[in-house]
Amino acid sequence: MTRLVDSLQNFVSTYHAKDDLVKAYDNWSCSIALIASDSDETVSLQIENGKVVDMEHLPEEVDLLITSDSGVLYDILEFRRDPNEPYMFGELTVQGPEEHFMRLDYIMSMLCPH
Amino acid sequence: MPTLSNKPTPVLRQTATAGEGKPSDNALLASGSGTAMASVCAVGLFQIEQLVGGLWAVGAVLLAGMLCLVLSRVFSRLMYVVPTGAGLIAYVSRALGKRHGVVAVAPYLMLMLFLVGFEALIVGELFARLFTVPSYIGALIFLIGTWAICQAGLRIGYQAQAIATAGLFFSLIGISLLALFAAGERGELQSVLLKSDPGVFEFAAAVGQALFLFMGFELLTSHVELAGKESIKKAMSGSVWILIVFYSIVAMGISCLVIDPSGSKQAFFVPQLAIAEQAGGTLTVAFIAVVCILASFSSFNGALLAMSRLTYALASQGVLPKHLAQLDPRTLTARSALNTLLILAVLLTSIIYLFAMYEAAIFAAAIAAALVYAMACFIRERQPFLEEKRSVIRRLAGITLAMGLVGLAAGVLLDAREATLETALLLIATYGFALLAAIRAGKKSSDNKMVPKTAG
Repeated sequence: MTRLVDSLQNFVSTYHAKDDLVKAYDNWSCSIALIASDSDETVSLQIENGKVVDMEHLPEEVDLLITSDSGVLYDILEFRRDPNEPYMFGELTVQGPEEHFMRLDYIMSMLCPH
Repeated sequence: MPTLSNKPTPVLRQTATAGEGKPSDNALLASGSGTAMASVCAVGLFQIEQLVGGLWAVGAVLLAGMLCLVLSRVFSRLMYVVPTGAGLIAYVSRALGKRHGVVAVAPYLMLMLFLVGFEALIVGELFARLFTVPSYIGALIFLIGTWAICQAGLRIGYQAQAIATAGLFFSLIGISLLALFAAGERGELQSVLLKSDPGVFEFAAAVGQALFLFMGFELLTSHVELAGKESIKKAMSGSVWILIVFYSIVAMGISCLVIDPSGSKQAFFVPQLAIAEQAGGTLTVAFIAVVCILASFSSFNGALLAMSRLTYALASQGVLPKHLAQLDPRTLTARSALNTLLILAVLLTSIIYLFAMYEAAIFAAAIAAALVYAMACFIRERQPFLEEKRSVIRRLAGITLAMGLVGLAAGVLLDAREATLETALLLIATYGFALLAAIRAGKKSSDNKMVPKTAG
């Protein structure tokens, strides 16, 4: 298991532990891929009705593509860094509908208040 | 176990998306030109007309437009390397560091908010023409109404913005052409268009001011997350062409004005209403007023939402007060940031109105635009944007363009005449604030650590 996979699993566990947050987004379904641009490592997660239901299968198409250096991805998934900062300063890019990444941003802000 | 990739990297789903779908090329064109095509631009055109006059004003618009076409290529390159909705601040930060990013871009955005204040006053004047309300009440209705719609999480769609932009485009071009024909019938066409040589310095200042008219076309790069790089690249240059055609014809229409601005009862002269009055009378004035209000509203709605998210992002890093970093879970809007922006917009509108800082608002925005564009040219020649095989001649040309834009900014300031002091004060205030924010950004980014909240 690589560090990125490990970090993502821990992140998802922290999210699932927040029942109220998962329940608040029970109408949200989305597939997300995280791409580490320096190592070409890719992990993905499928969210159905607010819950992460699959992290094992890499889909051909996703709703949201998030790309950054692996260091930045570790920092975010391990709660050392607010994702807004690398996003705003160009270290992290997001492709996909705004609604999805605004929801993701809200989840981050709830898991780790600024 | 989560998936690791020796498999192909996933691609973005191109089918229907959440919320609003992928914008069409035409919608992007309308968005790019609609952001720049605000009601305040007619006032800017009138100022250029006062400075150089006739076809010289058209020449200034054309030259500024050509510069923006080159700039659209520059911004395309920046967007290809860093495809982010954060836009300018991300580009400058990647090339020069976070502090430089904040210092370079924050004043531009603050002065845009100042322009929103001016735009609100123009909308107020338009309201005053339609209903019997004082113009400042109309301005407040515009600001508060748009804010309330943003608070509800409603964003004007690409199609609605396209309709509003097309309405403004065709109606102002229509009345400008009518004014031109009327001048032709009076046998005055030659005298209104062929004005005496304004001198190199005045013409350069006019080109600098004309850059202000295109301000915002580059914000199309912030749609890259949804629309894709190629579409944005095409839409950026297409938007500049639309703006060149639009401003050139409206500039000629303004040249044909026979109404004396000094006789205006308004706080400031609104050229689009004057042309409408001259071309068609009361009904035409009412029609133009409605079209301008709708275009201003569609433009301000998007700008306010974008600015609120930037404010939210800056606050979440501690650059701005923490209470601004709150998202509404239902509408996903940055409510506190929106409230603060409304207060700021009302405050700036009042400042412009009470101190009659109409010219200074436009001059300062033109200078900030020229400086931001110069910065874009400069960083384009640096890593990570510089290609390995880019020739020395092209690099030199890029740096020369950057220096030329700085020269245009200086020209605008030096030729601001009685508004020089106010313009300089505005620039000092915005760049001073940006410097403080940059110092905070540098400080906070080093200790921006987070601790996860425990479950339950």
